[in-house]
Amino acid sequence: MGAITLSRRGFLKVAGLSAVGVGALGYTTFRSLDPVEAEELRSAPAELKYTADVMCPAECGIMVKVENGIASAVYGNPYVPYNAATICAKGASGLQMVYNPNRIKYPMIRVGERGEGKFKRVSWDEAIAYIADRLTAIKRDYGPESVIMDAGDVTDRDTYWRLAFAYGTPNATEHGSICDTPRRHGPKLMFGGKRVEPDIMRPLLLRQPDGTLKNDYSYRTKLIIYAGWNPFTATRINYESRGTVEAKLAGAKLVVIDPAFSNTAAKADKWIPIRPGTDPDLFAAILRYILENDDPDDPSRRYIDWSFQDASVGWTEFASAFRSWWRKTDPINGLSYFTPEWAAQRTGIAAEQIVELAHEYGITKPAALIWGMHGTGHHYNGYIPSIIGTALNVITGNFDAPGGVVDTEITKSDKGGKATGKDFLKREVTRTVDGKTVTGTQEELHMDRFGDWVAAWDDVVGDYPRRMLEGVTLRQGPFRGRTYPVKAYILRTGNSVITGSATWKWQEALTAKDDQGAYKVDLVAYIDTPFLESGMYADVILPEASYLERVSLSDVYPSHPMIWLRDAVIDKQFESRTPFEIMIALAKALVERGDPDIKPEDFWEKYAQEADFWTEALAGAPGRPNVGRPLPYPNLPEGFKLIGTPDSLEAGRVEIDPENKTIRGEPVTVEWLREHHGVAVWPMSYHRFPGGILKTSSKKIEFIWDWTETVEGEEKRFGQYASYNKLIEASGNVPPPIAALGWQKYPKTFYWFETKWNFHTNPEYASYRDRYPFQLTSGRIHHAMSGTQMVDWLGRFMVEDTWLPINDATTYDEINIGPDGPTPTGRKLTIAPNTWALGVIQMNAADARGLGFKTGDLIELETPLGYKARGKVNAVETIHPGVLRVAFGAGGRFSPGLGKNFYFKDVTPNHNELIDPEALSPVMGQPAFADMLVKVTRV
Amino acid sequence: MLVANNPDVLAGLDTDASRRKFLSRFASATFAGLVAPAVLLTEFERKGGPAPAAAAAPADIVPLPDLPDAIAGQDLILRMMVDLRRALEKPIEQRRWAMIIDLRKCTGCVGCTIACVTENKLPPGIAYRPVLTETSGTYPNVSRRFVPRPCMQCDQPPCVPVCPVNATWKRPDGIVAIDYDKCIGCRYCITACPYSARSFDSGYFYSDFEGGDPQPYETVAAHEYNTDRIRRRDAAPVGKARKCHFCIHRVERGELPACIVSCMGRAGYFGDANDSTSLVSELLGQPNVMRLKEELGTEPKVYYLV
Amino acid sequence: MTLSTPTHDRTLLYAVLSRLVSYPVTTDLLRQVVELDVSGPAGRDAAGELRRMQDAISALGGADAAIEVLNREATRLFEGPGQPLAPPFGSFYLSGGTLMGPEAAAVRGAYLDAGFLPDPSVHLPPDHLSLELGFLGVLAGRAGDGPDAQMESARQAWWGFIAVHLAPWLSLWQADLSRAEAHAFYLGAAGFISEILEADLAWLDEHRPNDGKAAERG
Repeated sequence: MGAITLSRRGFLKVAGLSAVGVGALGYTTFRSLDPVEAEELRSAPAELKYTADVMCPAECGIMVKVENGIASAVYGNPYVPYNAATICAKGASGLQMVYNPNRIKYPMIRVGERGEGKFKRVSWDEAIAYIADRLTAIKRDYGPESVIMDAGDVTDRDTYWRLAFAYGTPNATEHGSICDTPRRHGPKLMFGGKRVEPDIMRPLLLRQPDGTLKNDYSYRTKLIIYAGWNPFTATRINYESRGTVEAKLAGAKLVVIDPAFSNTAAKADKWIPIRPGTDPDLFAAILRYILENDDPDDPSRRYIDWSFQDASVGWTEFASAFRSWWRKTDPINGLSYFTPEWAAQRTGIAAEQIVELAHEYGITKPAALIWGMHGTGHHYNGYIPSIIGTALNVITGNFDAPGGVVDTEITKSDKGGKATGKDFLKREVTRTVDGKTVTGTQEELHMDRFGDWVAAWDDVVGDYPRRMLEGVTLRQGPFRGRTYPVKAYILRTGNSVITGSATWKWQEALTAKDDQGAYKVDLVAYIDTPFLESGMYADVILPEASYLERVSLSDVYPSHPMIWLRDAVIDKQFESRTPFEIMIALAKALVERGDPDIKPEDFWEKYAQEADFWTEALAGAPGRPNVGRPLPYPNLPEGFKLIGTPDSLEAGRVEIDPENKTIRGEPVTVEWLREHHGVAVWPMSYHRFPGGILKTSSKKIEFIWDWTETVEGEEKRFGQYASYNKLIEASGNVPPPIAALGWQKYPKTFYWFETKWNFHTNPEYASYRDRYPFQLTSGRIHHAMSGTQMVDWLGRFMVEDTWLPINDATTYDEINIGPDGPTPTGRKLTIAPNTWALGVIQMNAADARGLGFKTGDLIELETPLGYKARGKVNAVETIHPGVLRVAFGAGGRFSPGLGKNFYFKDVTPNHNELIDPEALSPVMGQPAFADMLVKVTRV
Repeated sequence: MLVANNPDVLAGLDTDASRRKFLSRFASATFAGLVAPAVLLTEFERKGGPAPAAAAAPADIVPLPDLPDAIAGQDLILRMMVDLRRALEKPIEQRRWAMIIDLRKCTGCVGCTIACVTENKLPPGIAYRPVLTETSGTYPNVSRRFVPRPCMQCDQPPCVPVCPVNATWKRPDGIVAIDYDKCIGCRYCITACPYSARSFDSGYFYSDFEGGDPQPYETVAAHEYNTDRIRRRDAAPVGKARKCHFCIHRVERGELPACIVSCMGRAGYFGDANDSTSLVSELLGQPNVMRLKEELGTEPKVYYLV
Repeated sequence: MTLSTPTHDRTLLYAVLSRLVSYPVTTDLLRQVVELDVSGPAGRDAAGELRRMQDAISALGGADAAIEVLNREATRLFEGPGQPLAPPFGSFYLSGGTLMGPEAAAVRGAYLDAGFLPDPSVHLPPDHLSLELGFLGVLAGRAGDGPDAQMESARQAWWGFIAVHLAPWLSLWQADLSRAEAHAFYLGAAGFISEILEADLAWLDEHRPNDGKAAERG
């Protein structure tokens, strides 16, 4: 060491510092690393980490490239058979959601009125306190049931439900309620399931004759019919993209029934344009044709595989109820119900084509008849095609048959279990009703199932605005007669102001005030990553960690049991927190305020870290029985419930419980998934019924839904509607939505009623035919769900005919979501013409010509109820005349968090501005998004 | 310590301490520019320059996914990755990369377009592989076809001879490459391409349109042509021509191009056309193969199945 | 040669400087600023900047009254929305106006070279000024304690970090603050930080071994 020059300059001294004083400032500390760790981090190359997508509810397995702590690219996970290494445009552009400048960065509290979009940044402590103070007061003054926990569109909601149930409210919901509940109804009634999908998920893991498990890549389907379903654009069931085209190349025929020539129709051997809302008519005609023409002795007419009767109950009654309509005459056309001629008049499809379709469907085996979100799910009477479609798949012998259809709800792995907190719903609670003290369970305070919507197992978000304005009245169960207000609405990863029924109705409900000038709904909390319209109406906003920053599990729909992990691949950005952290923080804050129902041993004492919660949620995986052909585990008892990792089950490292009929291997944990490319896959099999996968009360396919039988000397009531009818019988209160149909209770078997706002099929609307000549349907732009439009990459490309780069040159004053919410930045920006995609109104070209419109003209749509929306016309050949298609969530977006789309809100249509908020489908309350009539004028 | 080796920094500090403040000496933009590239670059940035077109060392090739054995068909990704490894063992001049797009399977999802954008960190205004949509007919007899259009990597590329500075050339393995450092941005090649497959990088960032600073996904290094470059307004490839290069940086590590691996319809195939046992060679032997604008004699290496 | 007390104090001062540019502004922080004192002729400029901050606090009516105004101002200058007026990140000024650019990676590398990383609960880019100042505090602590070789290495790293990762852009940042008409408190804060760093850089430069073997030891 050489000489050191004496300093000419002294060290600059600063006085007034003390270790204690400075320590209190809360500055960032650095942690020391050991040299090995430091070196590893220094030279770390790019890593590929496994997690699950959230850009749409398909939640495909993905691999994210992470370099220097930054997520730099997204690929499909090849180990997850559901998407098998594929990834769609939305999944690939997730980086622009995670790193979006408009992402909510910090907790915020509203300043000003709801809807003004004025906020100020606050600390987490302050935001949590704000929520906890109000929840505590609400519980004390009104009861915890006055709080709605709406866990929105993303399916990893178990932490929020647990908190809500523990707090004491049964009113916890998620996206399903406004998605497509009528579509799910048939499978629910008949299988105890939900989602009928074609057997085209490849690879399929199948047990081979030699005992090994191998991936089968072959296709067996000979005919796929998609009615009102567009899987190539709504890539929610990922494998239906590659599966459909590969099945076609392997010899399958594809028929697409849709008012619009969708991307899926572009690959169809036959596109059958149909009038919106007439899918039930077509399905009924197909069923009638098959029943009338089936001949087991004629190979060219052998439509029905009668063996289904051995595995079902009630077919005779169902068929009889169905046939009873043949004797009736439809007042709208004077024809006998369900004949091809009758269906032709109603659907607009030629009778010969209907007959051809029915015959082809009946005679081709195996075949898959699939109905979709918009076609059935969004119509007032969508239950009917769902029921008929399910019945058709069953009687033609295609249910759970190779190449046929699979109900993926009852074949998927269990998740959630005890972690979700549903046990809290069984807690005994006491309330005063009409001066009397009544005891019941927490569940029996549910605003829908013990209110007006007895059969709504998915809750009724579409009817929340009415209850927010008028309060809840319970009409069923022990607490009937009790009323309570809705005092809090906590919305997480959802955007009900745009998607939860009519936008204006939600705005009205969230801004309504009482006589004292206070908001009726005392607390509105918004928890999310993007800043959507519903956030504009919140009192408090919490930044939730994006899907690349948290651990959780998703609702997925493969053909056989598999489950994959969502894992944190990058650090939480800004001050966002995971759902787990938010759950714990709120639980702690409530306990601090003396909440008697939330216990530390159910929250932070139970789950030391995020992974622990999700490991408990995995405890029951897969939870499906060892049934079917080929038997998934030939070395384990048939029919027993399987629980445990694939490798432990495969190796026989299990404990068998003959009493409970379970096979218990080593439990699936978050750690196990992390060690296995993020995914666990159990084998596929077919013919997994009767018993087996079915979740009906009789363990058979049920064509009747409320009946009594003597079992071992006891009278037992069976059927999916039985429990609801019991409630109605006890109370004497018929739920108003079904009373409107003339029902006294939920029907025993097949039923029929007309949809709303359709003058082709419902005489009630005949008078609108001339003045409101267009049927308005919704459609899906995969790229532009309510929550992902701020992604630049998805805004530059055309999608079908509803999303088109057709903008005028636009200059605007930029608004960004800053620490204090929507704030002008002072920048003026310009978007060049025809470079940015807008939601447009798809109209038949001949219709457009007749009205003097051409593509790009700004038009206004108006409904008979007087609601209006504007947008540019897209005049094309690819849609049925007399029909307009406006994609869901594609326009009128008034949150600045939407990025560039915000600046086009006045020239793009909000479909939900136009719907009838009273048109909630009668059994489950789903808004009838696709039932509406409009007239068109030029702007 | 990096700084100790930088003569400019040391020179700046050794100047006699007069009244001038140290910090202002460092503050000039020139100095910042000097310090930044020389001193602040991390390891991977200092590599610089286009890599020689050599085979990746075997150690650099990514492992194959460990999937269950296949029966009644094959895992197409696995098959193509195995084909790729065989090709990489050959000398580069014996490989001939080809891509096949099965138009019967393309569902028009635009996933390949976006996968490419994220893989190559493309800025606003550039898409190497857009999907063309062709609609025809009158209601109800309409049809629609989706045609993804990457660079054709022509065997007779019209873009190569027009370049005044020889910044673009056809490699021995068939890829038509661009040297971003040589390119002067004259755009002759963009005009010459009959497929409109080339684009000019005008230097936009997404934050030019939507607030905030350039985001991490646009500042992480792209790995085109095996050179790590972080996109800056004042450096290549801004101001240069750009196009699809079959993700050759992935291919030489044994990974398929991003568009191929991501495709929702499994409609893309990739491999060595000089290998008669490869999947692409098998498919090329079918009667329903076509190429775009055959009549121009460009000899594209992108084929379509119809 | 051991240098102890002066640099230990620096750890505390750097912590305060770090908090001047991190969220939120608290009354504790402002009270601490009011208690600081720089003496001596060499500290004249630094004292002037410190006084600017202290006067600004008084003019706002004291620590309690000032935090609302200063928090809003900090948000306006450092956070956004959209592009902040004076983003306190190295990448912005040194890597072509980017967030998490190559400068951020280089700074992270410097942390790792020294064997440290910011506490995982902090979610700021590594080149955020508050983290960089905090890091200097860590190095200053090491420079005043321990075996000679470690202290010397820490001094070298401390000098190098200021020279390479702070000096090139601090005055550019100050210029942006001035252009944004920042509150006198923040003009003072930026000035004070600048003066301290300059003083330390000069002092460290004089205490580097000048035997030509700096490059090997570096």
